[in-house]
Amino acid sequence: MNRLTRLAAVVAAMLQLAACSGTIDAYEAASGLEETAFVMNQHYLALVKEANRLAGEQLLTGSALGEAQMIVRKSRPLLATLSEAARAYEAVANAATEGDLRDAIADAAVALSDLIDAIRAVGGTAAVPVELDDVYGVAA
Amino acid sequence: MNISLIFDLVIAFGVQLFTSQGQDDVVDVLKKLKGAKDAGANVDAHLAAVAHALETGEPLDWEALDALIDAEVAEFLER
Repeated sequence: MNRLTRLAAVVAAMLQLAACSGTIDAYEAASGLEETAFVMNQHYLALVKEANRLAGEQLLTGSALGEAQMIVRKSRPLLATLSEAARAYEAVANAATEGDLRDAIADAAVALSDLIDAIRAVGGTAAVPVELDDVYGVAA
Repeated sequence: MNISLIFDLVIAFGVQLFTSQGQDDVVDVLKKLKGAKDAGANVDAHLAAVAHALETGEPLDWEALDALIDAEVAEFLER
């Protein structure tokens, strides 16, 4: 990979870190467990939509596509459980439904993280270790 | 001019340059970089709209959300 490509990878990684104000706003706007669960499901929807778009544009192909599909296949039941637990908590808020919802949120958080990594890997920012001296040809 | 626009311009220039040089592997990498960057921005925009809906007190429509997720997942797994 040449220097220009590596530099673009660094910029992409920076953008991925910087361009997340909407995501932070959504989680901060959620008040309580139920709304947090709702935001997580919306986050999942947005990620799968993007995976679909990338695959449609032939940017997510081959083994990367297969891996992303495996993650989505495994994670969908976890997000469905989260949805059910949130609605059960909404109907009857007690210690049992709150515990179930907290467990479902924890499981869904891991699933979301895996899916985010799969999409980031399309740009090579997760898979390619980038060092500043590789980019600029000098020691940072 | 913000950093996102500069990034898009650099990528567009790079795609044009390396396409003319026949370096398809580099062009592919650049397109994937832009795709990943756009994905991050689109997800962020989606969640910004969710934040607005929560702040304005819109009810949580779980059934509609589940249906949308099911449709997206089905489409993705069929690819």
